[in-house]
Amino acid sequence: MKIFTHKSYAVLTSITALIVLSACSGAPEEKYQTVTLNGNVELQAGPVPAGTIHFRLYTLWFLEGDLRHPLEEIEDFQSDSANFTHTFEYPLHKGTGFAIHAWIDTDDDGVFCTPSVRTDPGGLAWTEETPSSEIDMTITLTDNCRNASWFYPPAP
Amino acid sequence: MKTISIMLASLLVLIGCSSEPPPQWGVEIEGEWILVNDLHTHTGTWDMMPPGFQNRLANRAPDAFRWSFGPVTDWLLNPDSIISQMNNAGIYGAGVFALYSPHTTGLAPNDFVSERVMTHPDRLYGFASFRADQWNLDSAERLAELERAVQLPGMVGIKLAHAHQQIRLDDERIYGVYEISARYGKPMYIHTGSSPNPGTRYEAPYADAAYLEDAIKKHPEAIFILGHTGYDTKNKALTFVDNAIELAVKYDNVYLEPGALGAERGELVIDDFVTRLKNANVLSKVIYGSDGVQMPGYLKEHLENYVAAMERNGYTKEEMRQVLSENFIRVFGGLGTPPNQIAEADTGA
Repeated sequence: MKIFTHKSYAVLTSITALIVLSACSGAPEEKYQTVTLNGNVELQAGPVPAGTIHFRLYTLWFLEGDLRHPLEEIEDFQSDSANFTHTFEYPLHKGTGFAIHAWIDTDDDGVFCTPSVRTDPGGLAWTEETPSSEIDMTITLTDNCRNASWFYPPAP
Repeated sequence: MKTISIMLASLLVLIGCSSEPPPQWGVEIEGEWILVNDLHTHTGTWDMMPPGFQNRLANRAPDAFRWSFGPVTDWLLNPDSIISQMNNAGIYGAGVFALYSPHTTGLAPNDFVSERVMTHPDRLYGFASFRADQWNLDSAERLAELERAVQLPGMVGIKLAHAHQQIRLDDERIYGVYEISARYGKPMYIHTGSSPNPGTRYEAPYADAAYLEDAIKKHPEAIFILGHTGYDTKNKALTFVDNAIELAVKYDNVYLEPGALGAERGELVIDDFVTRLKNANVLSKVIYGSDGVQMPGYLKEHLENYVAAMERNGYTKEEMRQVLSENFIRVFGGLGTPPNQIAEADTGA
């Protein structure tokens, strides 16, 4: 029982210290930049096929040290037109740079390719610059059924 | 109230409550003891988790206790704590996974996992993994590292989580991983289905095991254990389960694992789940796992819920034995067998 009391005291002391420490620190402040994206989707060759175009926005790089990684998701949206404008909140606390992935749902099944139907083209455009209030991007669709990590970082 | 209970339970264990191995391993079913191994547990440290995952864990606690989740998580994920939970649940052996998922759940590096499982080499079994977020740049280096890692002490398998690692299940760039699995005879645990963790990819190409079929066909010597059997835990639904079961029926090298179905989130679908497995006649391909340790008492709670579901849905003792330990022991070449049972087998007892 005495041991229990001593350990309890040690744990409570540690907890108090941690409370004090946690009160002195805080999560990184969330900061956003409103960005208007003017975009254009094109195919590597030929006209853009019909179908809903699905987009996903990313910061290009996020975190530091061992956890540093490319392509941290910001948000998704869709468009029925290859020329589009989209306004979003860029999370300045979640990295640097910018990337946009697009794919066209050519068979209108809502899925970016199935194991047997491989007709939906995809592509990625990126910039290492963190966007300011407005950015223009052209996304060239080069490969069917390929997600963002297939394109970036590119092979040397 | 539950979160407060968890916090209090954590504190009690921190103070010094520890469990010894039980007098009998496993679970008692109608007077007979059935051995249990748990394929799927995690280790790691708070510092190696990205902010989104840290927030998810900390949000389980009341506001006033959120600060405590760093030290609690580090304690919960250390090997002695895992062993303590296993003892408490009657579980003999457990797989412990390396992780390289900087977008989602963070890092538990191969050497770190090897060192941790080697603190209890008879009961903890390591699964190596690999970093894939810059695959176009460093795939040769990463495959070489994986090849080294599967030969580290205590490593018995390979862990992949496409949805966490942002790789489509049909991405043939990582077929080299499957080749290493086959070459070294290290079965692969592959996460399928969704996950409640931030940063996870939820779309079918990352969650539906049907997208793995080409890889399975092309690597008949590699063992694919489909983690969670395609359970869509985010939506608490069996969205991709039938496709996973179909692969296990169709291919000799495909197995299934029911991790997280015994958790609280799975309570509305677990009966349907265990029934689908039984009706498909694939119980010889099901290897029990929990996706622990998550929180104090999780391994025991998950096991009790899963066993109760099997009992409710007409599993025989022999079927339960297959799921809870026999399939694990067969696939992993005898691992997960307590020493006294090896002695009994040797003497024909």
